Amino acid sequence: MALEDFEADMMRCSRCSDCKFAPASQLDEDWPEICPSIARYGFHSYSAGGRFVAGLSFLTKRVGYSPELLDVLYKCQLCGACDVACKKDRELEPLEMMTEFRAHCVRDGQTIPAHAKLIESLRQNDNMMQRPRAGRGDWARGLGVRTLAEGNVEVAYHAGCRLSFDSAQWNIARSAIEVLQRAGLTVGIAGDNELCCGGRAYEMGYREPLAHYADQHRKTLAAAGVKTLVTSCAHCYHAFKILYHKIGKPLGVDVVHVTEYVDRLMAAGRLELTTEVPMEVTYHDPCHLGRLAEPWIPWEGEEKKVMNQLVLRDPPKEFRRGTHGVYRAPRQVLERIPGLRLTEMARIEGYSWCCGAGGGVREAYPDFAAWTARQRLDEAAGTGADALVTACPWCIRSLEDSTRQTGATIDVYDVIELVHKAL
Amino acid sequence: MALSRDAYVALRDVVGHEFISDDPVILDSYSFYFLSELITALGHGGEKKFIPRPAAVLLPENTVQVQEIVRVCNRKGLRFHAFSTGVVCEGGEDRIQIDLRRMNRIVDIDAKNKIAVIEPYVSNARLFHAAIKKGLRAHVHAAGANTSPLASATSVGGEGPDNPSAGYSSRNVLGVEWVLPTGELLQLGALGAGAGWFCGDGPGPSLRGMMRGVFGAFGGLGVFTRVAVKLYPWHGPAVFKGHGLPPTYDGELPANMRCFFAGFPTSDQMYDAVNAVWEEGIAHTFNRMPRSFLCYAMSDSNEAAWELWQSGLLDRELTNGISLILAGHSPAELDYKEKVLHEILRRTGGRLAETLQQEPRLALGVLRTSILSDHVFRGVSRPSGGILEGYYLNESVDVSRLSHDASYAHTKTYTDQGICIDNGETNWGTFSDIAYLSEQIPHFDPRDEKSVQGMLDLLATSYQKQFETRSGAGLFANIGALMNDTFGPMLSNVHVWKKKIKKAFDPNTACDPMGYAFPED
Ligand SMILES: Cc1cc2nc3c(=O)[nH]c(=O)nc-3n(C[C@H](O)[C@H](O)[C@H](O)COP(=O)(O)OP(=O)(O)OC[C@H]3O[C@@H](n4cnc5c(N)ncnc54)[C@H](O)[C@@H]3O)c2cc1C
Ligand code: SF4
Ligand code: SF4
Repeated sequence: MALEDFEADMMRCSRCSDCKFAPASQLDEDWPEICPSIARYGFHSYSAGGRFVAGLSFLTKRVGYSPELLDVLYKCQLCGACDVACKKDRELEPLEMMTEFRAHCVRDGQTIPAHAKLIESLRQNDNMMQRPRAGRGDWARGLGVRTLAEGNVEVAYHAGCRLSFDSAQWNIARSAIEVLQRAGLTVGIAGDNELCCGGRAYEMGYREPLAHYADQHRKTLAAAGVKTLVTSCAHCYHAFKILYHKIGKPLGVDVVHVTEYVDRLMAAGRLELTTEVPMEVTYHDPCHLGRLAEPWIPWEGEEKKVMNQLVLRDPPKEFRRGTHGVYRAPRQVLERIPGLRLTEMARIEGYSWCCGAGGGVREAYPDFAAWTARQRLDEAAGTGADALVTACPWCIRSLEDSTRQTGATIDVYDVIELVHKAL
Repeated sequence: MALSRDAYVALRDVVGHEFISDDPVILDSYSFYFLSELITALGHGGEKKFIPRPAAVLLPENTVQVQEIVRVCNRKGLRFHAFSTGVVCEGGEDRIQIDLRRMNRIVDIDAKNKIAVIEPYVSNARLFHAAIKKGLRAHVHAAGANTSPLASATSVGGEGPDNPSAGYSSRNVLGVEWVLPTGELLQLGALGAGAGWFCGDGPGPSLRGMMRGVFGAFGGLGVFTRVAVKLYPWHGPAVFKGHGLPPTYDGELPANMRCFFAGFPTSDQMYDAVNAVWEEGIAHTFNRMPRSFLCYAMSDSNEAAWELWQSGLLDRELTNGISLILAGHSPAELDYKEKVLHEILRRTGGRLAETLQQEPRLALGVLRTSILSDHVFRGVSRPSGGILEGYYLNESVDVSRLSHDASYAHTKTYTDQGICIDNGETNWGTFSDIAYLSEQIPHFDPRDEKSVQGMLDLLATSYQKQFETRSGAGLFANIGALMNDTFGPMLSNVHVWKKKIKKAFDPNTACDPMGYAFPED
C-alpha cells in the first residue's frame, strides 16, 4: 500500500485519544497510558492520532520533510498498542499507516543517520548488530547441535541477530537448544550462515532487506527439508510469520516461537518440568509476540457504502484487532514450572507497554528506549514480583540495560531460562 | 501568524523548551479535530480538515505555569485557548493553544464527603476506576472514555446515559480553581472561603452560571485547572475489569444491576414510558436508542453491524426502543424497581425485547457505555467517520414528542439525497434533573464533499425549523461567537449577557473569544 491509501483513515480519525490509553474496561488508574511516544513527548503529534494528522498534512503539502517530521515519525516503537486500542471501536489502520509513512521517507532518501548506518552494515554483514558475519554461530559451541547444511533435522532453531551476537544472552539460546533436545528432538541451526530476518529494517522503513532475506531463508529451509522453524526472538518470529506473508513471500514452514513450541511439547507429554523454581514473577508480553503476532490477513478490495454512508469493504475485510496474538502460550509454560508464581502487571496482552526497543528507537533514540523500559520496570516492581520474565532478546536487552542505568532491582529473565532451570 | 521571538522566549521560559513548540508538524495536530471539516467549510478559515494553525502550543505542568502563560499573553497582546484532552481543540491563527495533558492528577478522592478533586487530563475511565475502589462513581458524560470530566464539569456539555442517577455535569461541579483570562486565580464556592471543595455555591463566590451556564464557555473565559465533582454510590465491585481479549473484553454485569430493553408500538407510547420511568426515579442509566445505534454498539465491526441490521431482529424487538439499567443497594430494592418497570411497560404497551434480554454481553456493553463512556466511538465515528447534532433539545418530554417526528421528517430530505446514513429513525435521548435531552444524530462521511456540504445545509435548516416550531434550539446555536448574533435574539438575548461577561472577565480579550463571545463594544 502507499501512504495515499490511508487518506480516508486520516480524514476519519476522531482525535478521541483512545490510542493513548488502555481500553476503558481494562484500565488501571496508576498505569493508564499505553503509548510510550505520547507519554514521553506530550504533544499530540507523538501519538497515532497525531501521526494520522501529520500524514494528512504531508499529503496535502501543508508540511514537507523536516527534521521535526522525522522526529515525530521515528520516536515511536511501532509497538502497536495504539492500533489495538483504536480498532477496539473503529476500522482504521494507524499502525499500517505509520509503517508506510516511514517507507515513504526512506524511498525519498529521508533517513535517520543511526538507521542508515545500521542498514549499511546489514547489507555487508547480514546482521543488525553492526558486527562482522564471522562468529555468528559461536553461541552454540559445545552443544553438539547439527547444522542445517548437515540435514536430517526435525526442527530448525533460528537464534536471530541479537541472541547470536549479544554474548550475555547466549544462555537463552543455549537453554532453548537443551530444552528441545531434552524433549528428544533433533535440532539444527544455521550457525555462522544464519541471516537476519529483515524485520527490524522493515520497521525502520527499509523494505528491500525483508524481501531479500525472505527469499534466502526460504531457500535454506527448503534445501534442508525443514518443516518447523523455532525461534526465541519475537522480532524474527514476527518477520517470518507475519511480515513475509504480508509481502507475499511466506516461508512455507511452520513458524513457532519457542514458548509456543515448549507449550505444545508439554501438552503432548514430551517435556516435563520437575525441579522447583520458587520465584514470584511477572510476565512482559513482547509486542512482536503478543498483539503484533496475530496472523496476517490479506485483503484487497475497495470501500463500499450501504444505507448511504455506512462504510463497508468489498470483499469484507477482517481487521487485525489484537485478538489472536500469542498471549496464552508463554503464560501456560510459566504456570507449569513447579514452585513458580505468576502475577500480572496492569498492562498486559493487547494493551501491554513496550520495552522500548522496537521500531528502531533503541538505535536512534537510546534515551527514549531506556525511559520506556524504566516505566515497565517500575510497573513490574509494583507487582511485588522477584523477576520480570519475557520472551524476546530485544526486550531483555532493553530492560536489563535500563536496570543497570537506573539501579532498578528487579531481575530479568527469558521464559526459556526458567524452563531450563526447572528441567 | 508566527510568534515574535520575544514572545516565544517569554513563553518558553515559563514551561521550558521541551514543552513549547511552534513547528508546523506539531501545530497541525492542533488544527485538526472531529468536525473541523465543517468549521472550515463554513468559511472560518483553514482548509478541509484543518482549521487555521495556532502560533504555538504549550504543555504546562501546573496552575502557576498556566497563570504565567496567561499573563505573558496579556502582556504581549497574544490570545490563548486551553483544552483538556482535545477532542475539540479549537483555536486558530495567532492564538496559542494550552494543552493541559501534563496536568493529570487525581488530587483527592474524599470518600466520606463523596467528592473527587481532579485536574484537566484525568479521563472518565481513570476517575471511574479510582472511584469505584471506594464504592463510588462520578457522573460520566458520553463523549468517550478518554475525555475529561473536568472539561465536562466546567466548560462544555455534560450529558450521558447515567444522567438519571448522577445528573448533568453542571449540577455536579463543586469547588473550582479557575485561572481567569487576566491570569488571576479565582476559587469558586467553599474553596474560595478556604472551606474546602465541598460546595460550588458558597460560602465564597458562586459564579457557576457565568462560568458555564448550561452549555459552557468552550474555553472562552480562561482556564480551569482543578475541579471537584460529586460522587455517587457505585453498586458494583471495587474492581470492575473485563477479561478475555480485544476488541470486546468479556465480563459480567454486577449482581445488583439488571439491564432491560423494551420496544413500543408508537413513539407516543414510548414517551409515556419515558415520563413514567423518570417520575418513578428507578433508572440507574437510561437510553432512548435508535436501532442502528444499538447495532453499532453491540458489534465489533461495521460488517457485523450491517448483518445485524439486515437480520430485522431490532425492527422486531426494538422499534421505538429504550434501554435502561436498574441498580439496587439490595436484591429487594432491585426487585422492587423491576416490578415498577414491568408495571410501566404494562400500562404504556411496551414489550421487553425477548432475544436482546438473553444477551449478557449486550447488557454489559450498555453498562460500560453508560458508566464508563466506553465504546462510544463505535457509534460515533466507526459507521462513517462523523456525526452531527441537528435537532437538539433539553426540555420536557412533551416538547421532545414534537421534535421526534419532525426531526426525522427533516432529516429524510437529506437521507433521500444520500447525504447521511438512513437508519429510518432518529433522536437519541436521556433525562436528568434538568430536563429530557433529545439529540438527532445523523452520521456523515467527513471525506465526502457532498456529505459535508449537505450536513451544513441540514444544520442551518434544522436550526431555523426548530426555532420556527419552538421544538428546541440547535446545540451549536448557543456555542461560539459566530452564532451569537444569529441565534442570540431567539434565545432571550443570551449573547448580550455573554458579551458583558466577556468584557468584565477579559478586558484585553486575551482568551480566544471564538468559542464564547466577543466582548461588548
Ligand atoms: C464525538 C463527540 C461526542 C460528544 N458527545 C458528547 C456527549 O454525549 N455528552 C457531552 O456532554 N458532550 C459530548 N461531546 C462534547 C464533549 O462534552 C466535550 O468535547 C468533552 O466532554 C470535553 O472533554 P475533552 O477533554 O475532550 O475537552 P476538550 O476537547 O479538551 O475541550 C472541549 C472544550 O472545552 C474547553 N475546555 C476544556 N477543558 C478546559 C479547561 N481546563 N479550561 C478551559 N476550557 C476548557 C475547550 O476550550 C474546548 O472548547 C462530544 C464531543 C464529541 C467530539
Ligand atoms: S488514531 Fe484512532 S484512537 Fe487515535 S485519535 Fe485517531 S481515531 Fe482515536
Ligand atoms: S506504535 Fe506504540 S509508540 Fe508508536 S504511536 Fe502506537 S502506541 Fe505509540
